[in-house]
This record gives sequence, structure tokens and C-alpha cells, in this order.
Amino acid sequence: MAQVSGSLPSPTSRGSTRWAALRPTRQFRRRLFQASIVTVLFLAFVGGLTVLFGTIILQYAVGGLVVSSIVIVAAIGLTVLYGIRGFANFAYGDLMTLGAYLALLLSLNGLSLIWGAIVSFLVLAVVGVLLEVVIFARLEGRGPVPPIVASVGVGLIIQNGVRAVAGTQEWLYPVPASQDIVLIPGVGLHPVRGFLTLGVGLTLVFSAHVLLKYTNLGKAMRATADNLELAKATGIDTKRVTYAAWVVSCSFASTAGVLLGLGTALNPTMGFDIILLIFAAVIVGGIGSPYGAMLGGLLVGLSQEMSVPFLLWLERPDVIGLQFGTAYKVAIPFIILFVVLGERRRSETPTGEANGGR
Amino acid sequence: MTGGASTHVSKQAPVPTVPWGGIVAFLAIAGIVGAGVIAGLLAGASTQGILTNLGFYASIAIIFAVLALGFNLQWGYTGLFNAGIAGFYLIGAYVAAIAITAPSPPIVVGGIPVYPGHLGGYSLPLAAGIILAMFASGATAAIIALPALRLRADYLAIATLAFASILQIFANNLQSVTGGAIGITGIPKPIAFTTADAPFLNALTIVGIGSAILLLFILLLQFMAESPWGRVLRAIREDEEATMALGKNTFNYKLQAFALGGALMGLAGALFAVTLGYISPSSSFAPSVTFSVWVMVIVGGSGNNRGAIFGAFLIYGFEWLSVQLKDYIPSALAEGLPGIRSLLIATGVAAAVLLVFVLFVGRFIWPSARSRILTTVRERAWARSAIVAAFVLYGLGWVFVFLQQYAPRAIGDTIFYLRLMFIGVLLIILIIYRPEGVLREHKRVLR
Amino acid sequence: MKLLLQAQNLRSGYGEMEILHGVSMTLEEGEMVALIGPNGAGKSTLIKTMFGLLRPTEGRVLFRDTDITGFHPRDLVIMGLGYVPQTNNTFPTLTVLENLEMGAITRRISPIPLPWNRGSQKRTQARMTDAQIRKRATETIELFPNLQPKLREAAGSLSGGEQQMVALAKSMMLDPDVLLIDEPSAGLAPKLVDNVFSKIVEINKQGTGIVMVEQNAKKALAIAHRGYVLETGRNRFEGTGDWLLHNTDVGKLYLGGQG
Repeated sequence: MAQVSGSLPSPTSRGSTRWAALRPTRQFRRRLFQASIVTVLFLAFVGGLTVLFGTIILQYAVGGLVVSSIVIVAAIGLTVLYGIRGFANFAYGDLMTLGAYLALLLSLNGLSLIWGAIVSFLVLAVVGVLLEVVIFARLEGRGPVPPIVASVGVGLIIQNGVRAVAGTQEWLYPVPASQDIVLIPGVGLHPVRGFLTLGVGLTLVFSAHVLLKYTNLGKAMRATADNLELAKATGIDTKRVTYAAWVVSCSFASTAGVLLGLGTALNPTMGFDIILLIFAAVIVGGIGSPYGAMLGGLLVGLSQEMSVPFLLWLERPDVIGLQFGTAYKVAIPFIILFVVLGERRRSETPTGEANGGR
Repeated sequence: MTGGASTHVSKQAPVPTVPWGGIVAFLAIAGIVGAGVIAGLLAGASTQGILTNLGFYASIAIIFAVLALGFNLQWGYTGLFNAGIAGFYLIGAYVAAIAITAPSPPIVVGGIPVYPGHLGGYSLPLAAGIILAMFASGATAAIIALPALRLRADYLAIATLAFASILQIFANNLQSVTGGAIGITGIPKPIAFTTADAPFLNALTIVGIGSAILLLFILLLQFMAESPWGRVLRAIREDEEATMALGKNTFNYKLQAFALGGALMGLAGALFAVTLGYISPSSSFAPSVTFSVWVMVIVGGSGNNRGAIFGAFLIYGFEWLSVQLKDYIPSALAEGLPGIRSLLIATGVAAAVLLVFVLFVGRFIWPSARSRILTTVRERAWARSAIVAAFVLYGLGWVFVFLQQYAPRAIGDTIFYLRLMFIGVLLIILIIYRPEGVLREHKRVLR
Repeated sequence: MKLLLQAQNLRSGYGEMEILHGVSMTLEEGEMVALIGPNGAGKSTLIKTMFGLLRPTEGRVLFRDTDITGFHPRDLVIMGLGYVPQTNNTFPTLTVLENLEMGAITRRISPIPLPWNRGSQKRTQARMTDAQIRKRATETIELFPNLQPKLREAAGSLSGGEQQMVALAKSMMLDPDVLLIDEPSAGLAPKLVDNVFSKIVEINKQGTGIVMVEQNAKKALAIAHRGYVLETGRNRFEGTGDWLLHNTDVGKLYLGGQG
């Protein structure tokens, strides 16, 4: 029998290997460099805007960060599933709605909102696995469209089920009233709607990072997203990975929904209204790439919120007198999406169905 | 109809020559019309009123049929999945409305703007409005398709859905063009009747115009589908790379099909504007329109024009019927509540007993019986599905009963949402079990 | 010599299209076998069928004395088979080290004793902890010294030849008894091909039986012990590498245009 382990490594080569392993790679250094350039440019941009518009722009930037943290959580959940199962889950927004309403239901029935959110997190994980078993496992290998159609069906059921049960009116979470915490004069953040959202968002992003980078399940998930066929041939239990993806995806959806409801109010289309924003974040970051989704979510959230002063400027009669200019802020991410799609056209082959197509 | 299939079928059982799909389609639509008529008679409507109502059903169903034809050209023939049907529909409706209405200046009552007015007021003839609408929608479809068409189906779906939702934002907020949330009113009818039975005559003209257009386009599409152009489209759907290898510029073909489909959706929008006489950005152009059209095409069988039209009449028929029966169902439910409840209890107990029996008891009492009854995988699947369906129905029944008891008006109010839930269920079930559609004329399984 | 892997009269293909019309082959312990033949002969289909990626409609696959026809690839990996696909044979966004770790994932002990972890534990003999897997990875990588400085780089950023090495290293993580390699030379420059082939010989020398599909028939037959020539899904010739290399019929048919 073969004995590779027999060929002993010399201590010196061992040492150099270990050292080589710790040394930052070329790629990493390049990424770090790119990231720092982007950060500097962004800070310069915000600084310039601050000079132009005053500190109000910082308030929008902070608001954008809060929105981003919600979008990022949702985008990670969506992209993990997208990468591994190979289809765009159009029901994702409605799963967020479901999570938000479950937490509301529990918090109206005596549980605190935090426990409600946790229970909803767990329930949605189960819902995700059920969706895979009952519906989406049957559509495997039939290309990207049938699962999209089925997911729209799931979304319709959830959205209208919520409407039928909870009505179309808006609901509010029982959040204690409190003043915004002033960061610098003119820039404040609500302790619950702002800081808590940011904190929960960061925690989830960090736990996703730990899962994907340091656990075998996470590595297997990334491997499966990279290449399903190879993952099967390597011996990765792709079925389990798929369930894990649904669990991560749907539980993240639940928390993103609760955070979304925390920021504004709950209504039956809250999730569906934001789904395109999340798709924009996912596509900007590259489908199936959680780290890309983080970046994309940041870009999309910030650009949406920080377009507000610009749109307000457009609303002024002496400029072009746009009516309801701020309503168009939700269109900004779509413009980014179309630009990115146009850009991606060049890098993908005409029938780029290689990754997860049929 | 099934002649083509039976030529080389040797191993399978002989294919029945009875066109069951067509019969079912005819019966279903006849049933919907019949139920609508009965509902009208129960409500004590006049013959003319019932006919007007039926005319409304027919004209909206024709509009959906045109939408379905457009989507069928894009998806069924070419394999381009459009999730923004509502957007192209909206463009057509607004362009036509702007073109054919009379000028409508902003209305200000006591310093408060009541109506912001809208662009246009060109009072063009209907035909011009329809052509402009088709052109606008088709051109927009081509522009949207340019970046997204080379990409995978899911990118196209996301891009078109995004586009439709941007359009709704614009329609709602760009008041000076679209009239804002109020929309555009006073869209002229094709022929201005002044007599007392004007609604009836209007319905009649609309149905007449609509069916003429529908007939024209179905003949045109059928002709195009059989032409070399249509064959290339189907080849693209089956295997784009192979088609490209044959020297066809697949991108151009896809672009043409997508733009043409978009133009058909614009036509539907123009017809809608004329039929209703007013348009507003609310529910008429919501994403659920897109999803309904999907169901219509999937029910009819993708790649099948007649199927798409049948699907439109059937699915819109359900919606129309739900509106007709909206007031009747709650009261009927209230009267029959005790009976329904005992029926539900009986069903639930029976289903539970059956389940327990199948799962646990049966295999101990008759170890061999279970294997004798549920031998094939298919039989077991049927048994499982039947049990699940029984429980779902049981649960739904109780939901109704509780709603009726504790919120007597809720059912009437939620019928609209229940209809959308039903469409969702239909989408899932069809795409899993009957991807080739109910009519089953084409043997191809869609991908 | 003991028979390690056997294909008996395999019929298989993609969907309705049958590509193999009854192909047989054997592999003895420690042997290297080359499968050659023109395009569309069914070489890749044969090893995909043996590895459980395609289900045969007829025939059997035996591993030692076990009938492994229709086994899931995961079970085959656990039993001691390995497979290196032709293209896309690494996980591009994972680092080289992570790629190697994935190669041993079937042997990993889950640190959490969950109910669904129990079943798989039963089937295998040697379970490995994460530390053991990592140690095994550093051992495996010593076969491929040029990968050592790139352990932490994403596999997708490496050159084609390096990726081929990563794929080989990944499949060597569990020290399989049989390695099925699909066209190791696909898309590589001639110099790199020699490099890859010498690695394959090295792996074979350590006792791993190898079934290799190759377009480059001359080079493959030069290093293989035996070879099979397939044509349109049927066995055409078989014999030792030397014999096939110097057989005029084979030469006329398949070796003429090459190399």
C-alpha cells in the first residue's frame, strides 16, 4: 500500500512551509491595496460632499450604513443559496417578511422582541429545509427558470398569507422610545434602530465569515458553490451542504426582516419591496460570493441613502424642480445593477450557463 | 392533433386520440362563464347587465391573452425569461393613454392641487395610439435586453423585474407626465355612444376590436413560428451554442423575439387603457400581473399559442369569478357553517386514521398487504400526495371556519389575496408536476 | 497480482444517448492503465460510469470483490477511489490548502456529535481530526514542491499546470487505491504535460493504481503498463503499452497524427 507519509519532511522545509503559509499572499496584498484605495476615495467623496452640503451628509452616510447592514445580512443569505442551489430565490424578500411577522406575532404574545427574533430565526431555518425538501429538490437539474417560478409561487403564498392573516395595515415593533445618540453635532443614531441594527448586522456578518472560512461545513459550502459536480466527485455530502445553505439563507432572512421592520414598520410587501435591492447587492458582488455580497450591500445601501441630498437638490425649483425627488432613491441601486450587468456581459460567455445552469 | 406523436411510438401504450386537453379547456371556460351568469342572475341583474359583465370578462381576458402571447414568444419559443411583463404593459398603457386623450390641465381647487395633469392630450386616433404603444414597448424591450440578453436566464429575470419596478416608481412620482397616483382619466372609447345602453355597446366594441386583434396576432405568430425565423428561435431555446455554430447570429434573433414580445405587451397595455377608460399605477401594473401571465402560459403549455390564450381565459376567469362571488361566498359559508364544521371534523379524523393506518398499523396487521397495495413508486407517491392534500384542505377549511366565526367580513375582504395565494400554489404545482402544461400538445419539457 | 478494479460489459451514456455499448476493462494492483481512442469513443464516459457519476444501463463495476455499480461517488471516495476530472478540477475560490482539505472531507470527524454525523462514521475505518487533515495536507504537498509557496492562494489564480497539480494533490489526500484521471494533459503546454506525467508516474510508483484517459496516446502509452483502445463505445484493442505503441493497426488509426 502506498505510504506517502513515509517520505519524511525535514525540519527546515517544514519550517519554511509554515512560514510561507503565514506570509500574506500576493493576492491578499493586492486586495488590501485595492480596498484601501476604494476606502480613501470613498472618504474623500464623503468629505467633499460634507463640504458642499454640510454635516447633514454624514447623517445620511450613517443612515446608509444602517441600511447597508440590513442589506448585507440579506444579501449574504441570498447569495449563499444562489451559489449552492444555482437559482435566484425570488421568495427571499417574502421570507424576510415572514420572519419579521413571526417575531411580531411572538412579541405581541408576551415574548420579548429579542426572543421573538431568535425563535423566528430558528423557525425560518426549518422553513428553509422544508422548502428544499417539499419543492426545490424536485426541480434540481431543470435549469434556472423553474426554481425561479416556484420561488415566486412561494413568495406569493407567503405575502398574501401574511395579508390575509395580519391585514394590510402597518405594524410597529414595541421599541422603547428614546432619543438619538448624538455622535457629533448634527449627526445622531437611534440606540435601537441604529446601533442595535448595526451591531446585529456586524455580528451576523462576522459569524458568516467564521462559518465560511474556519469550519469544514463552510468550506464545503464554498466548494459546492464553486463547482457542484466536483464537490460531488470529491465526496462532499452535497445534500447536507444544500440543507445548510437553506438554513443559513432563511435564518439570515428572518433576522434581516426583523431589522428591516425595526427600522421602519412592518407591512406585507416590506420584503418584496427590498428584494431587488438585495439582488443588486448580490449581483454587484458576484453571485455566490458572500464577501462580494458584503461589498455589494455596502455599496448599494450607501448609494441609496446618500443619493437623498442630491435628489433634494434636484427637487429645488431653480434646478429642475423634480417632484417627489426622494422617491427615486430606490431607483439608484437599479441603475448600479444595470451598469454592473452591462459590465458583466463582457466577462461572461453568451450562454454562460456553466455555473449552475442546467 | 396527436397524429404526430403516434408515428414512432412503439413501446408505449397507444395514445388516445380524444383531445382531452381541448375538452377540459372548453368545459373549464364554459363553467366559468356559466357560474358568472348564475351569479348575475342570483343578484338580479338584467340580461344586458350580465352580457356587459361577460363582455368585460372577455375583453380583459383578451388583454391577458395578448400579454400571454407576448410572453410565450419570449419564453415559450425563445427561452428568454421575462419577469417584467407588468413594466412593458405599463408603458403601452401610458403611451396609448397620453396619445389618445384630450388635453387635461392640472386642477387646483382653492389653492390645493387636486390633479396634477399629465403629459400629452394629443387626441390621436386609437390606431395611432396602439401603434405608438407597441413601438414604445418594443423599443424599451430592446434597450433592456441589450445588456441582459447575453447573460443567464436569471440575470434577465432580475433585470426585467427591476425595470418594471422602476417604471412603477416613475409612474407614481413623475406627476407632470403620468398624472401621479391618480393616473390618467377620460381615455376616450373607440366609438362614443350616447344612448342609455352605452356600457353594453362599449363592451361590445371593445370585445370586437380585441378579438380581431387577437385573431390577427395569433395567425401572425403561428405563421412566424412555422417560418424559418420561428425555427431558429426554437433552436436557440433548445441549444444556443449549436445554433450559433450553424452560423446564426443568435443575439439578433433573441433581440427581435424579445422586442416583438415587448411590443405585444405594449399592445395589451393600450387595449387595457381603452377598455377601462382610466389608468393608475396601482394594482393594474403590480408584479402580480407578471406572475399571473406566467401561470397562464404554464397552464397552457409554453411554446403553445392556443394554450396561452386558453390559460389567459381560464386564469383571468378565476379572478373575475372571485369578484363575482365575493359577496356570495361569505354568506353561503355563514349559513353552512355547522355543516362544514362537522364535515371538516369527519375529514380530519378520517385522514388521521388513514395516515396512522398506512404508517404504523397496516404493516403489523397485514405485512404483505402494504406491499401489495402500494407496490410502485408512483402509487406510493400518489398515496403520500393524497394524504398531504387531505391535511392541507383540512387545515385550510378550519382557517375559513375560524375566519368566518371571528371576523365575519374577513373572507370577503381576503378573497383577492386568497386568489393570489392560489396562483402561487398553482405556479409551484404546475412547475413541479406539469411543466409541459395542461393542454399537452407539445411534448417538450421546458427548461 | 490481484484485480483491483473491473468494468464488465458496461453500457452507459447521457440520458437517452448511449455512448458505451458494452465495454470491459480491468486494473490490477499497482498498475497504470491508459484509455485511448479517438474523440467520442467513450473514454471519459467509461471512467465517469466507473466512478458513479453516470449510471450504467447494463454491466457491472467491481472494486476488489465488491460490486460498486451505481454507488454514489462519496461512498467510492470513502472506499478508496479517487477521480480527477478533465477541466474545472479545483475549487477556484478556495485556497490550495482548503482544496486539499476538501480532498479529505469524507474522513473528517465532526466535532459535534449530531445524529446525522453518526451514520457516516460507521462506514469508514480511519477518521481524521482537523489537525490530522492539515498534517496530511502538508505531507501531500511535499510531492508537489512548486505548490508549497502558494498554499494560501486561491486555486483559481494559479496557472493551468499548477491547478492540475492541485487537483492531483487533492485526490491524493486520502491515499486512494485507485485513481481515475481524465485527460491530465488537457490544455497544457507540452513541457508542463511531461511534468504532470512524471507526477502521475511517481504517484503510481507509490502503489496507487491509475486509470488514465488521454488524448496524447503516445505519451500515455509510454508511461502506462497496459492500454485499452476504445472506438465508438466498444473495446478495440488491448495490450501492454509497448505492444500498443508498436502495433501498426493502432498506429495507423490513432497515433499517426499525434505528437
